[in-house]
Amino acid sequence: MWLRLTATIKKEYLTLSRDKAGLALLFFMPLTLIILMALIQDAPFKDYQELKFDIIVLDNDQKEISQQLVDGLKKTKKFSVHTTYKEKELNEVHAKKLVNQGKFQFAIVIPKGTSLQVQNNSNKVVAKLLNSLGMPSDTNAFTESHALYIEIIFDPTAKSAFKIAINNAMEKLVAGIETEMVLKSMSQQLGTAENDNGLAFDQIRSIEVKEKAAIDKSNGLTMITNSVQHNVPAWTIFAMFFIVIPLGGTILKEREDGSLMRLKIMPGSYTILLLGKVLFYVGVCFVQFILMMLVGIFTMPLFGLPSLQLGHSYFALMVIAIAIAFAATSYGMLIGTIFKTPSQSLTFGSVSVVLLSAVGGIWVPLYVMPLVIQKIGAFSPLYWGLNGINDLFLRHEGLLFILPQVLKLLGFSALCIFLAQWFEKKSFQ
Amino acid sequence: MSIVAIHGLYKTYKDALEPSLNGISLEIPTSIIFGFLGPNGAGKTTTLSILCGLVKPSSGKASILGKDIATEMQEIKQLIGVVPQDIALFPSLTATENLTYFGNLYGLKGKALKDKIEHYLDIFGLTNNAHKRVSQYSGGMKRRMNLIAGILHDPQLLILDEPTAGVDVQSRKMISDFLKSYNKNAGITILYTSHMLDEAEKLCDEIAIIDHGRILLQGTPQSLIQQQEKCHSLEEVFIQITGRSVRDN
Ligand SMILES: Nc1ncnc2c1ncn2[C@@H]1O[C@H](COP(=O)(O)OP(=O)(O)OP(=O)(O)O)[C@@H](O)[C@H]1O
Ligand SMILES: [Mg+2]
Repeated sequence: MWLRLTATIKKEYLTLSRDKAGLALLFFMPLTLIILMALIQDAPFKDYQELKFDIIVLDNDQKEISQQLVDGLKKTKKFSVHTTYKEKELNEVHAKKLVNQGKFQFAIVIPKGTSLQVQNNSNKVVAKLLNSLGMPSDTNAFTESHALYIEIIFDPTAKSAFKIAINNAMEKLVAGIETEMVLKSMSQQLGTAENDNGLAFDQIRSIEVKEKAAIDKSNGLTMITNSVQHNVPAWTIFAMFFIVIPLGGTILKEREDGSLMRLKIMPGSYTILLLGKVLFYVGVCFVQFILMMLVGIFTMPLFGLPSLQLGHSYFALMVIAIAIAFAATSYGMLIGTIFKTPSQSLTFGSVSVVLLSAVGGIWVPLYVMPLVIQKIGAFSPLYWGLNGINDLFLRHEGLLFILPQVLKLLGFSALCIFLAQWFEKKSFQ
Repeated sequence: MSIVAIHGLYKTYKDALEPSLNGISLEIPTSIIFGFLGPNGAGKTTTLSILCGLVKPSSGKASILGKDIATEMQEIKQLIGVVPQDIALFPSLTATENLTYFGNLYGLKGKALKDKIEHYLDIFGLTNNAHKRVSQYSGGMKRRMNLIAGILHDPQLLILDEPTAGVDVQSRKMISDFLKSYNKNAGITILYTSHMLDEAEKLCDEIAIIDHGRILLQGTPQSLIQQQEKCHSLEEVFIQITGRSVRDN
């Protein structure tokens, strides 16, 4: 049995190594494809990542603290702050109109008296604090304050999540400035000279909030960080599934040139010979996979793209790669068995792989597609593969986490092989 | 003892209107060359395909070397050699690669297999083209290769379906000389079909003429010629028995 298996693998190797078109399809095409797709999609991915919002800021106060607020907004990389439009100073009416027209995402209006209010408030807080500690200070020396609001005017089409995010960001900014004012006034009241710098704001802040690994779980899907991270695994899986073409082709060719008949005349189980074929092509798929990962890591940077990040578990990566390879190869066996002519199998094989890849999120991530497609896509083996790899690459999960995807792929493979055998038996009359 | 025994074999292919085999019964004695002759579409290939397990009979029984084709096909496959009517080789592999693979599938390997391949390539004049891909072979070379692929594992019964179809006089003589000596020297039983009646007449110890899925005549070439009136050759017997009309199936 071992001899029959190894001999078959060797035979498949010799056959494929002489099939120049098949080799080109398996290795050259996908390499070009992933580099091209990564380059083409680089811009849209960057846009999404580095999107800048155009906003209007009206400073009606024009004092130290309001200026600090404006500077704070300018420092944020997410906003591009405008105070004029077409070289004209803006007022509130103008700003509202422009936001309504969608020319700006939103406008921030800082009311008159903001600086004074903040200053008063912090002085009051500090005075009360010192008073309660038994230190002398004049708590009544401040004017009564009335509430002041920083207004944010949103585009009417703005999503509520977006509004909340902006509100939060503004509040954070204001709170930061207020805290700083409190500290300043405290050091003044305590007589600490300004240049002593006894209490600097940034020294107080021991915990900073920093955004990390932008994971959007709203669809149970991971946000992809860049073009390489999406395109390399996606097109690798696509190319692996394209094994359907040469594999289906050799099965049909063997039927046509009579070598299949010769194999059936031979003693021993035909299943072993099929297994030899499957194993060889699984090996080919695996080599494809490794090659493309290497291209992702080493070749992408040559084109000015980021290098591919593989995640933590290389073992899990190998497992899912082999599961994808089995699914692709078995699918090819099925296609080669069902159809009786090469043109039928070629057409159906390639069209079905393209369709499965489209609904499986290969072309663009599934979460940007309509809900219907997302639902259909959940049944595409290419989606299972891509999802598994994304779990490893982006979520840094391990084998246990991707096990469902691996099992789905292997189940699909078993189903294909079973159906292929069934069709083959049916044709034996 | 007969090496092949067929009893009442019927076969109607799926979707076919008429049966291809209409109750074939046949006994082939051991160590002879048996000719299975008949016009196009007579049912020769169908019969041989049933014997080597490629086609299932609709009804009837057959056994080879005492083993039932319905239950002991795996054992039978190891004991018979088959040379199909159509070339059955891997075109992108060389002669040596093809034969090595087939040898491996029969459980042969190493030097024994290598020597055997060289031996047969030499006998059939293919040594110089041993490392050429079969797709680049001429029709006659492919036929000879097809034959070698059927005998690598030293079968006890060799079944050949038109081994000399479409080959030149030289190749045909090479093949028929080989079959003769293979039968005489090794005592291998040969069951073969051909449309070359003069070749069959010279080569065969016994003959059956089949048409429309039925056996019409069976016996030694000489006895068949003598039995038929005004016949001096197997070809004349054949025409008299099967008629002059051209087959359209
Ligand atoms: N796979 C098949 N499906 C349907 N009918 C078939 C099939 N194979 C053969 N037949 C029919 O069975 C009959 C016998 O065919 P077979 O190939 O056995 O003839 P043959 O004697 O070998 O002819 P030839 O000398 O032309 O090779 C023919 O009528 C043929 O059309
Ligand atoms: Mg025939």
